[in-house]
Amino acid sequence: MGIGRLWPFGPRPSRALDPPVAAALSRWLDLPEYNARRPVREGRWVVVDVESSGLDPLRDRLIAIGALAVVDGAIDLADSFEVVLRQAEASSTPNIEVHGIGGTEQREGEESPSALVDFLAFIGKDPLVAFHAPFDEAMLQRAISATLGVAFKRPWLDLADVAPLAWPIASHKPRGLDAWLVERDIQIAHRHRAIADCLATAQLLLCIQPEASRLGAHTAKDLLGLVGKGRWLA
Amino acid sequence: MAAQPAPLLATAAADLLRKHAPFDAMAEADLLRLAGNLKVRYFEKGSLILSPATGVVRTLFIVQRGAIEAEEAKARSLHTVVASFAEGECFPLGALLGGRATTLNYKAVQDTFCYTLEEPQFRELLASSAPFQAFCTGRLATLLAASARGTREAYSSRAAEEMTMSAPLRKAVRHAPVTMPDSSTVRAVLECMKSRRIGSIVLMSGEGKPTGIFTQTDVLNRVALSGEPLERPISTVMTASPATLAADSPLSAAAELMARKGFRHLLVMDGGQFVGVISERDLFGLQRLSMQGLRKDIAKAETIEDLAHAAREVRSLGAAMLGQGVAAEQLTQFLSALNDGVAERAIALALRADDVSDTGFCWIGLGSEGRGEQTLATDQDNAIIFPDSEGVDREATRKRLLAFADRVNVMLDQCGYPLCKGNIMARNPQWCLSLAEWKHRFDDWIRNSDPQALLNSTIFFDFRALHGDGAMVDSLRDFLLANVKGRPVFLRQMAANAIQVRPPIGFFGGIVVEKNEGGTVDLKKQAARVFVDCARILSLAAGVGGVSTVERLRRVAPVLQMSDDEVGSAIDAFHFIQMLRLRRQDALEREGGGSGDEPNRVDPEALSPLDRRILREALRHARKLQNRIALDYQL
Repeated sequence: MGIGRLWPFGPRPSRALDPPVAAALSRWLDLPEYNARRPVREGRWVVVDVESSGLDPLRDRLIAIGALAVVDGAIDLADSFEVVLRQAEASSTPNIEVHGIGGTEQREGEESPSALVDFLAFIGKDPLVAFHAPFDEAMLQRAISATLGVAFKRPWLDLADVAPLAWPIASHKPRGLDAWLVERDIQIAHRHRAIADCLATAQLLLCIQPEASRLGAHTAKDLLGLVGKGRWLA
Repeated sequence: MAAQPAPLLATAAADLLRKHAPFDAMAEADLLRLAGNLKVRYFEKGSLILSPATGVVRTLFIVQRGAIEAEEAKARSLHTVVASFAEGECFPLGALLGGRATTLNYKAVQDTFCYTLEEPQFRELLASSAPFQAFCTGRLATLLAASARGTREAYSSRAAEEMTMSAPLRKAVRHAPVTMPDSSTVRAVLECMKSRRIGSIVLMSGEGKPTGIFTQTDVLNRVALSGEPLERPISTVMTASPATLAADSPLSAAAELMARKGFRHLLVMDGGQFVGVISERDLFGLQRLSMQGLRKDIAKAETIEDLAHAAREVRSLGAAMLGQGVAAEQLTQFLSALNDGVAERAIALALRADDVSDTGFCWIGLGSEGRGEQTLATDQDNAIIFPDSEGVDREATRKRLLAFADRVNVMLDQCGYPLCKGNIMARNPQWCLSLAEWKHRFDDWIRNSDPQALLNSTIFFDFRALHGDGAMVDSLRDFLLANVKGRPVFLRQMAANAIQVRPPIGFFGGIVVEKNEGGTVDLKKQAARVFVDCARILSLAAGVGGVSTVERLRRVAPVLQMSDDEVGSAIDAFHFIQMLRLRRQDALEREGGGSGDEPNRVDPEALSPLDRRILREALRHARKLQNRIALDYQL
């Protein structure tokens, strides 16, 4: 299983995982990295959106994950993923009591590892996209680390940062996803369900991709690098 | 690990698609399967999506948001846009179905999102979903059907009320009521009902006043099931003091009373006299107030007032039929048949006062009346042909006929067919001519083809006999066809005129409206007339005759090697335009619109999305016909 190999990303899984989950995790860990030099509109980007019990990524729990792939410039509605996590860890924190999750669901807490490992299998090693990515990233990092015992460090493209670069706006106020959807005339049903927000973000990504070369971003790496530039300029 | 696609995405896509044909008619399972197989693509404004160079088309595109336009690949100007696609519309169906490359360039005219479906899934869907298949293979035909359904739904309740409910009860009582004395036995009453096959009978007192009613339902409840002897007097089982209404109250009052009290029958009283029974069934039956009945009313009208009344009925029945979703083709045929009837009767009445039948004259209808394509708002276009008899003074004959024609024209005006503003009427000495004079006049127009002659020919070449000797009409038509054939210059000028007004299809969003006309489109000038003019030219050029636009198109098809599809679509398109005009006129009439309202103008935005789409498709067919003419005459 390659568990004995040198592991560069922090501690190896310490807790005992179910063999199928461990096998899936191992397969994901062994996947090759995406090609950072591929053109922006080629290959697979995975749009991710999470829902949690609150806005504090350090304390609030992960409730649902949605993910949707944009492959070669097209959203494939079938290449999508949605999971509702019942609970991160069965018996540990008082948080669970606060949220009033009963004994039955505590016993079903074991679904979290398989849900998260399914998520990893879905995203593969492709770059991730989100609107206000740091929040999604933090929620996922904590859950994955706690449940699967591995660090979750992936490249993220934050459209909240890229969109103002693509379509410069006069206002200095940051714009929310809804404002960008209005501006690009994107209509989405069932907003605020994780997967529906993924679709909204993915359609926004489709609009941004053709703008990328104008911004000097020709490869996936360039595009991911814009974010830092954008922050620095702002 | 096989990821489970998120079901919400398919549901959401299905929800968007369901707003449009044909997805609204598809089974839920098919629609969800379709939605689950979709991809979403984005096209920046101005980007080319498909072109002949793309090769064989393997993908169906459905516009999710934005607008797409298809233009001829060898575009030289902006006027070559042949189709446009808005939300919910599919392209390129023809190429995809035919497994070929598209002949057109498809461009995004705005930033546009499209759903795409790959060919294997498209084929699966064709096989599994009948509505989808019907849509793809008979696009215009299915759209038209869906529109007719919509019209029917929007109008039917109102139309049913209107046709029946404003008329007085008196009109609804068909036959003299069957009555019996209220002292008769139950047996005698039942025997009478059986032998006369009636559902109800009214019982009368000795003084001849109705005292009760007995119906089939009562037989069951009060006689058969109660087991009472049949020798009892009927008065013990009849419904005493039945509800009555005055003969001049409207049908709506009867309907209301029946609905409120649960009565099935009402007695109709005229000045204290019992004149008949009206049943719930009669009320419903009235909705089918027949064309035959109206035709009889017209043929029997003894006075101009009767005739004018019947003519009004023609229009209201026309409006009601429109509401019942009767196709424009049948509807215009119906209107034109009844309008013919009114004209014939007006002529017959005029002949009673002033018999000019010895002149052997023939009354002809011109323009839309000649073509049998009248709408609800039609003014008069008519003329007279009379024979050139030896030894008869032509001017004397004309003088008599003009006086007669004036009488008819005025009568028709009273019947709701306004006098022609251009004075194209039989009472105008210019249009009351002998056969020889008509031939001379036609010949003159064909030879000189000045603007006035061209304008006249668009009216006068569409002629038809309404009364009198049709042989003269045939002779004139033969003359026309024989003479036009040798005059390519004349036809070419007619063709040039016919393509002057282009159907309002633009390069943005489809239909181009006239801003200074309140954002509307003139369905007559910019659409219907295109079909009419093109059909006239094609039929003259092919020498095949025919007076109505549809008949002309059908006749020229084999001669000019137009495909059945091409002709069929053009005819459907023409009918659709005519129906929109009828609906518009009907709506104006209903609102009591002032004379300033244009009876032929519609605001495309005010149409349902489906009708708007069909209108666009219909306009495209108009343009196609024009293009054909332009090509034929190298204009």
